[in-house]
Amino acid sequence: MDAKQDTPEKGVRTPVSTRLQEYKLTFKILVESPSSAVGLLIVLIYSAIAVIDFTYPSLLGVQDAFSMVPDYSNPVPSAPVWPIHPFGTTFPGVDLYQAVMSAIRVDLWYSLLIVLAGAAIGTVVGVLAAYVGGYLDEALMRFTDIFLSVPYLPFAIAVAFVLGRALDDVSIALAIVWWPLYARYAYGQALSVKENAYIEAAKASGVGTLGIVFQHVIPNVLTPIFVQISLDLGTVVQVFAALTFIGFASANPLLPELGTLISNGFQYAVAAPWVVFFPGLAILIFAIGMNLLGDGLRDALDPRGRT
Amino acid sequence: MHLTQEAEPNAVTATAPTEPLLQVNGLRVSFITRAGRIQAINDVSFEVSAGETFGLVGETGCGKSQTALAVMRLTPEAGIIERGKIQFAGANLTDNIAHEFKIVQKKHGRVKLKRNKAALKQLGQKINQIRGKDMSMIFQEPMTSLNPVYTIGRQVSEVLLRHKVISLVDRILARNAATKEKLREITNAAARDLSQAELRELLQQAGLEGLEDQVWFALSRKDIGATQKIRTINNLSERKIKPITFRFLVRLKESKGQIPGEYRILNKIPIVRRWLSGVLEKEALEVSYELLSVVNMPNAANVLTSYPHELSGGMRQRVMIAMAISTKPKLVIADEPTSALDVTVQAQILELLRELKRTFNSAILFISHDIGVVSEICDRVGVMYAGNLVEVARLDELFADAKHPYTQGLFASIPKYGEKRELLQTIEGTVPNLINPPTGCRFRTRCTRAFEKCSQPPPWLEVEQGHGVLCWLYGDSEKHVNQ
Amino acid sequence: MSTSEEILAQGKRLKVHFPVKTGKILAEALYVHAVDNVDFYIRKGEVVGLVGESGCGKTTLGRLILRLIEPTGGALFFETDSDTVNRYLQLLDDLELNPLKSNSDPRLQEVRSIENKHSIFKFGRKEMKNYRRTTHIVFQDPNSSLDPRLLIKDVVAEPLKAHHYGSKAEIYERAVSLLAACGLEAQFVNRFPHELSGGQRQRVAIARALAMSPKLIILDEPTSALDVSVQAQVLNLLKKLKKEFNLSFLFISHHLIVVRYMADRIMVMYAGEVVEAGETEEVFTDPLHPYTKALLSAIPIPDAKTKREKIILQGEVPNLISPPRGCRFHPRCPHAFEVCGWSPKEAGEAFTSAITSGRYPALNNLPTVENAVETDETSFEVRVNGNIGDDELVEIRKAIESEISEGNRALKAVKEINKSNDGSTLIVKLHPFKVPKLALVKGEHTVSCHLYSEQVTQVALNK
Repeated sequence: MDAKQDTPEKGVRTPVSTRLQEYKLTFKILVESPSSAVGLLIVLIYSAIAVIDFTYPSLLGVQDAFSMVPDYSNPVPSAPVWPIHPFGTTFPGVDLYQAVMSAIRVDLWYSLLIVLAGAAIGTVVGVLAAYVGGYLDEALMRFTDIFLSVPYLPFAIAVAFVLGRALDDVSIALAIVWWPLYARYAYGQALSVKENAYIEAAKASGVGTLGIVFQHVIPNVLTPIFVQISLDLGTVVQVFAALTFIGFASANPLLPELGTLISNGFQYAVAAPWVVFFPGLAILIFAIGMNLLGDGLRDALDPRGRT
Repeated sequence: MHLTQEAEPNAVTATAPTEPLLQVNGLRVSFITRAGRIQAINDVSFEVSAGETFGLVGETGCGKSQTALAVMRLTPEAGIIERGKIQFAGANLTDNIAHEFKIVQKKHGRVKLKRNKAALKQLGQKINQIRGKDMSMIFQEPMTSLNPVYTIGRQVSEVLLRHKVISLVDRILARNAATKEKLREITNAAARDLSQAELRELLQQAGLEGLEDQVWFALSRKDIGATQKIRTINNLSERKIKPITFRFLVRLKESKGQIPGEYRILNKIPIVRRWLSGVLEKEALEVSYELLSVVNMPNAANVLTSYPHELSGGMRQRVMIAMAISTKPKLVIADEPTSALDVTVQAQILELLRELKRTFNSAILFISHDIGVVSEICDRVGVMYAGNLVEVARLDELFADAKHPYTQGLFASIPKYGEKRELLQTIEGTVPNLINPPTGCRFRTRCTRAFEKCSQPPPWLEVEQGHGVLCWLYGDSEKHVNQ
Repeated sequence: MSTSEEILAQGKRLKVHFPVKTGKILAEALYVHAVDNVDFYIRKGEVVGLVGESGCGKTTLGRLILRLIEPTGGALFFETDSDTVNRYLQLLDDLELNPLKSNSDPRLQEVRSIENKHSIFKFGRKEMKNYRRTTHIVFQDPNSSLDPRLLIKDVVAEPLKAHHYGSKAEIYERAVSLLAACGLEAQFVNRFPHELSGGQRQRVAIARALAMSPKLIILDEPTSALDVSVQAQVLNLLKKLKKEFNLSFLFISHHLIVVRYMADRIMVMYAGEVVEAGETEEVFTDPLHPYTKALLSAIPIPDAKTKREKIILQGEVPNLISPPRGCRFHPRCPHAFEVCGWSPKEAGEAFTSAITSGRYPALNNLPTVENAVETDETSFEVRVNGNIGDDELVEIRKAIESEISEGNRALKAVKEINKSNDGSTLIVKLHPFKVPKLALVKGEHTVSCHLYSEQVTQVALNK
C-alpha cells in the first residue's frame, strides 16, 4: 500500500507537460543524487573533450588530433613538468597530455559506435522474437543463446583475428559480441510490453504486425535499453582498450588510443609510471562516470520515483 | 522459529465499558512528495465501539485506506501524522507524534522528512504489543499478503507463536492434567446442548480451562457424528507429555512467555532450541487447523501444508481472516477484503464475516468503495471525500436520509437495481488535487448547493442522534457540536 | 428502446481451447477449455450484456469476436444476409439429427463453403482489415489501454491512420471532434495519458473506438476500474453515443447492477459455456439456472432494508483443463440430480466418507473400507477388509438413502448398490449422465439445465 494508491493522481491541473518537460524532470531527478550528478559531470566533461578535440583541438592544447607527435630527439619518457608536459611524455617522446585528450575522443567514438550498433541489432531481434513468437521466437532466441554461450573476450579476439587487426575490425567484432545481450534484454522487456491492452487496441484498429512492433513495442522498450546503453559504454571502453592493449591496432600506429598508449608505455611502467597511469586513469574515470550515470538514469526514469 | 521474548502486554489496559474501543480525534495525515505536500487526511474524527462494525466508504483518493493504516501506525514512509489522537482500548497510540518526525525545509522550497529513531523505536515497542494481537488487519490483495515461500500452516502459526504462547502452553498442560473420568463428566454434559459459557464453567470447576477451545471445536464440528465427537474429546486425555517438557512449560508459563532463566543457556544450543520450540510449533499447527475449520476452509488439513500459490483467491482470503481472528482481537480492520474476489466468493466471505461477528464479537472497521458490500455487514457507516469524513450515521439512517450532498450524489449515481432510468445522475467535475485542495469545504467545487459560506471550513453538526454531517447546510456555526 | 430485428453479428459453436505448455516432451496434450460451444447473436442497435465470474470465458469470447485471438472451432458471421445464415443453421441442425455418412457428404461441403465465404474466422488479410473498420473494443484497464508514449490525439488518430482515412489534417480534425463528443475539451488533445484521470482515459479509449464509425463495439468491463461517480459519467456517455450513432454493444461485466442498467439482453456464462440467456428484465426477475439464481442473490445491493435469501455456493470455479463432465456446474449446484454428470470419483468419495463418518451407528461395525475405485464411466467399487453381510448391505443402502434425503447431492447419482459374491467388495452403479444444451424455455429465454428439460420439450413440440 503506497501513498499513490489513496491519493488522487490527477484533478484540475494547470495545462502542462510536453516531452520537453518530461526530459527536464528527468534531468532534475538526476542531479539530485550526488552520485549520478558526479557521473553526469564526468560524462559531460569527456564528451566536451571529445567534441572540442575534433573541432578545435588547439583549444585543448592539442597539436594534432589524429596522430601522436613524436619527438625522436627525446624518446625516453620524461616526468611530468608543468606547463610543458603536464602528464609527462611517453615513448617515443610523445606528449602524454595531448595523446590522452585525443585518445579519449577516439575511444569514445568507437565505443559509441559499437554499443549503438549492438543495441540496434539486438533490440530489433529481441522485439521481433518476443512479439511474433512461435517458431521465429525459438529460432532467434536459440541463435542468440549460441552467441551468449561463448565468453566475449576470446570470441572478440577470434572474430577480429579473422577480419583483421585494424581498429575497425575490432569494433565489428565487439558489436557482434554485444548484440546478443541486447536481444535478450529487449526480449524480456518486449514480452511484458506485449501484454498491455494498447497493443490489442492497435490490432483492433487495424495496425499490422510490423506497424505495432515499430510504433508501439520498440518505443516502449527503448527506455530501459537506453539505460543499458549508458551502462555498457563504460564497459565497452574498457574492453576496447583491453583489445588494443593486447595488440590490435589501427593501420596508423600513431593514432592516439588509450589501450595503445598503455601498451606502448608498458615496458617503461616501472621506471616511468606516469606513462600507464594517466591513460589508465582516463579509462577508469570514464567507466566509473558512465556507471554512475547509468544507475542514476535508471532510477530517474523509473516511473514510480517521478511523482 | 524462536520462542518469543515478549511478556504479556501491559500496554493495553481494560477499558471502562462506556468508553468506545477506538477513538480517532482530529487526525491529520500528510504525504511529502516531490510535487508538494498531499493533505491526505484532514481532521478526521470517529469512534468505534466494542463489537460494532463500522464502515468507511469513499472513492479513490478519499483517504479511507490511509485512515486505517494510520490507526495501525502503518502509514507509509512518505507520510506523517501531523496532528490527532488515536486511542485504542485505553492506549494512546499518538502521544509522541510531535517528536517522531521533523519536517526540514530545504532550498528551492523542497522539504525533507527527518525521523527521530528513538521516538519511533518507543512507538514500535508499544504498538507491537497491540498490532496482531488486539488489533489485526485483513488486506485487499490476498495474492500478495501471504508470503509465497512459507506454507499456510507456518504462516498462521507464526501469529500464534508471537502473541499467544501462554494459551498454547495452557492447552498442552490442560491435556496433561485431564483424566478420563473428568472428561467423561464433560461429555455427559455435552450430550444435552451446551453453550460455550456453560462449557467454560464446567471446565473451570474441573480445573481444565485450557481445554475449552479444543472441546468446543470438537463439539462444533459438522463432519463427524456424535459418537465420534465423544471419542475425540475423550482422546484428549491420552496425549500426555514427558516430564521434562512439563517442567519447561510450567516454567515458561510462570515467566509469562519469556524463556525462563535456567533454560536460557540451554536455549542457545540449536538442537535444544529446536525441540523446545517444536513443542509449541506443533501445538500452534493444531490451533491453525482449528482456525481454518472455523473459517470453513475445505480440506483444511491439506491446506495447512500448501503454499499460497496453490490456493484460490477466496481460500487465501479465508486464511487471512483465520490469521486475523487467531488472537481473538478486539478490533479487526478489513481493508477492501472482498474487492478482488468474484461475486459468489464475495458472498461466501461476507457470510463468514457475519458468522464470525456473532461468535467472536470483535469490532470491525470495514473499508470499502462498494456501498453495496458495506450495507451487507456494517452497523454504522462513515462517508469520506477528499480526506474528510463528511457524514456518519447508522446504516439504515444513512440510506433513508443521507444529508451531505456528496453522499446524496453518490447514491444517485449508482444504477438502481430494477429501475430502468434513461440516464444516471452524476456529480460534475473530478476529485480535487489534494496538494492544493479548495479552501473550506473540499466538496464545494462540485456541490450543486454550495454558497458563500462554503469557502470556510464547515463545522461538524450532529443532525440527529448518532448522525453527523460536515456541511454548512445544516445549521449555524454557533450550534455546532464538537465531536 | 427501438432495436431493429436485423441481426448484426452471429456466432455459432464457438470454441477456444488454449494448449497448456507442460514442458514435457511426450506428454498428452492438455487444453484449457476457455470457451466451449457458445452460440450468440446481437442485433443492430442492441446492447447485449455478457456476465459471469472470473474464468468463465467472457473476456475470451469478447476478444474472439474481434478475432484478437484465434478460434479453435466455430463460425462467426457479421452482416451476412439472413438467408445464408439460416441455411447454415439448418444444415447444422440437420447434421446433428442425421450424422455424417462420409466425408464427402454434400451437406458438409455446403457448410464448409458457407464458412469459407462468410465466416470472419476464414477471412484473409484484406477482408480482416475491412472487418476491423466495423468493430472495435474498449478495455477494462484505462492505464494499459493507452500507449504511454503517445499524445492523446495520436491515440485517437491511430485507427484513422491505419485505415487511411484521409490527409493528416482531416485525421486530426476528426480526432479532435471525437474527443469533444466524448466530453474531452481541446486542452486534453496534446497531453499524455498519464496526465489524465482514469475516467478521462476511458473517454479517450471510447473516442478511439468510435474513430472509424464502427457498428459493433465490445466493451470489456469498461467501468470496473473506475469510481462509482466516474462510472456514472461514463455510462451516461455510452448511452448517449449508442443512441446517436446507432451502435451495438457487447457489454462484458461482472457487475450485475450495471449490466441490468445497460443491457437489453444478457448472457450468463459459467466455466466457458453459456448457461442462460434472454431479455435482461426477464432473466433478472425470473432466473432459471441455479447458477444465475445464486449469482443474482449474491449481488450486494446498497439498500439497508431488503433482506434477500442468499444462496451461498460451496466450492470454487472449476479447473478448465479438465472441467466437470456433464453440466459443468453440477458440483456446486444445490439442485443437481442423477443425470447432471456426477463422476464415479465424485460419487465414490461422497460414498466412502458417508459410510465412515460415524453418522450412522448401524454402520459402526463395518470393516474398514478402502477408497472407491472407478471401474468405468458410470460405476465404481469399494473394497472392504472383511466381509459384508446381507443385512449390512441393507443398512448401507438405508444410510445412503438418508444421505441423499439430507441433501448429499453427489450420492443422488447412485443407481444401485450391490456386493460381490464373496462380500469383499461393494459394487455401485451410477445413473448415466447427459450434457445439457442451451434451449428455449419461453419467449427469448434460453437456459442450459436439466431441470427444465420438460419445458424445453414442450416448447419444441409447440413450434
